[in-house]
Amino acid sequence: MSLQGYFDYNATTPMCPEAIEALEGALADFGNPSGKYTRANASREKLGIARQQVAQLLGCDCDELVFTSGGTEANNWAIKGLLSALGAFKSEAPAHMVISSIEHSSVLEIAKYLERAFGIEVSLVQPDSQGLVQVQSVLAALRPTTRLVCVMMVNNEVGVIQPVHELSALLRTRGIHFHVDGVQAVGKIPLNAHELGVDTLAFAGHKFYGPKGVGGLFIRRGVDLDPLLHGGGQEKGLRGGTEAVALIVAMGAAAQVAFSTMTESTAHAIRLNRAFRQMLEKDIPGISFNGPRDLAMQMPYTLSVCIDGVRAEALAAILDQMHGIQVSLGSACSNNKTASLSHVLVAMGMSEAAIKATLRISFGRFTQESEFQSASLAIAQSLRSLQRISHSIDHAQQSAA
Amino acid sequence: MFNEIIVKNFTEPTFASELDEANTSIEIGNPVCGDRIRVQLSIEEGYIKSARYQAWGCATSLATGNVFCGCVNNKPLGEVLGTPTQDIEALLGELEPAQHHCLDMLKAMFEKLRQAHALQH
Repeated sequence: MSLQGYFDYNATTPMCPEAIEALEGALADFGNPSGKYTRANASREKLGIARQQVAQLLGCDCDELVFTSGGTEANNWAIKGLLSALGAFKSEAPAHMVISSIEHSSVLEIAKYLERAFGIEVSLVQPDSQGLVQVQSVLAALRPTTRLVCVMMVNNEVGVIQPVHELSALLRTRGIHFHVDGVQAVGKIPLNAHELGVDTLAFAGHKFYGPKGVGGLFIRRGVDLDPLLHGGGQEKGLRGGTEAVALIVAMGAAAQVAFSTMTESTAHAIRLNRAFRQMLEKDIPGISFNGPRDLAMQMPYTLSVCIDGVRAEALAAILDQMHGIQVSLGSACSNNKTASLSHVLVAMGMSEAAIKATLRISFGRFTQESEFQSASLAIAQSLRSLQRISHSIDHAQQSAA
Repeated sequence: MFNEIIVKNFTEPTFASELDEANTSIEIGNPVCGDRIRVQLSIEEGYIKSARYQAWGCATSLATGNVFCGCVNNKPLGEVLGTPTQDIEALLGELEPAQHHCLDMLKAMFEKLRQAHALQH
């Protein structure tokens, strides 16, 4: 299957050949890795190798790593498991947690649930206009009852790299657990869980060329979490359920490739990002880039672009149907205005018109340099098609509507 | 996702242009999502000689303008105004819930045309 024109790597990545090969090689090993007989050995050994490969990518030890079904489970577990272990669900004095308002729904929704079901107090910290969650804003939200802070490592929509290292040092001195959603970072940019100083860190295999349905949680040694899934004692009793051996093995292979190619891949992505920005600025009138002005704080694989006066949803549909180019959006057309606008772009203070004019372009390992020029020209051509349909509709009315 | 009717009409918007000889204009907008469609028609002696549109909005809205023009262009006005509701509802094909507002806009265009005709007579 051709990957030509695929610009939605933040949503998911194709499996790399190494992961596919590893997956195929592990499918026949049906032995339960928890088995005590020799037939279990192959599965158990492959699981051990995968754990080493993923631990290497995360910069942690093997015993600090638990496999899950993906990033959503890992985020849910870290938050629920910590508060449960701290006794927050049966305490009369409500515990407090701080999360950024631009978190993924797997963090935002569990926070809402805990607020509703257990009276956990939740403070949302807004980012600045560049999408950056300021350290001082997080510190200002802390209370004596704060048990947990969650800030994502890299935002999925805009690609802002958050000041996780700085936050972790400050939270550690206050004895507050720091959970980081690392789903958009792990396997894409250099990262070391120990050096970052975080307490828990979630990741998903399909974001770094592994399979869907598998991920994991780094749990710093000394941190106690109650299990989310109670069961047969797998993963040292922390996550019940027979391990998805083939998926984990494939994720391990993907982690190995990501680790061994990280330095050159990142440098290459930075070069491509800058070249693509220049092409877009040359070809597309009225384009601007959402996110940090300092590109060192920006994920090189992500561009959040706003094209003045354009309805990005229509542009994306034309790109897909007429040019075979897939991108993502800052809003979806809906009769429910609140639900249709990106909560991240809203939190950054962008206007409704700017949000509706925003596309997310995310690329990855298999994106060819020539695809950027094709994409830039296709966007320019699609804009001309849209202009033909809408040139006489009053722009002020569009913005005000 | 978009059905085949929507894809065909927003990728090949045959009727997307302005109409210099127009003597009737109808315009509708959705205040929530911001979509707008304006249709210009040339109607003579009870006959819609031509219809053209301009639109700003999502792909389904852009397609809706084209579908409407395709339905009324070169047709007797009486026949267009007598289009049964169920036929109007079928014009856009099967829609996802988020696209249903476009069917409302399509129905509103037929209603606006009816009102414009009533005003002229």
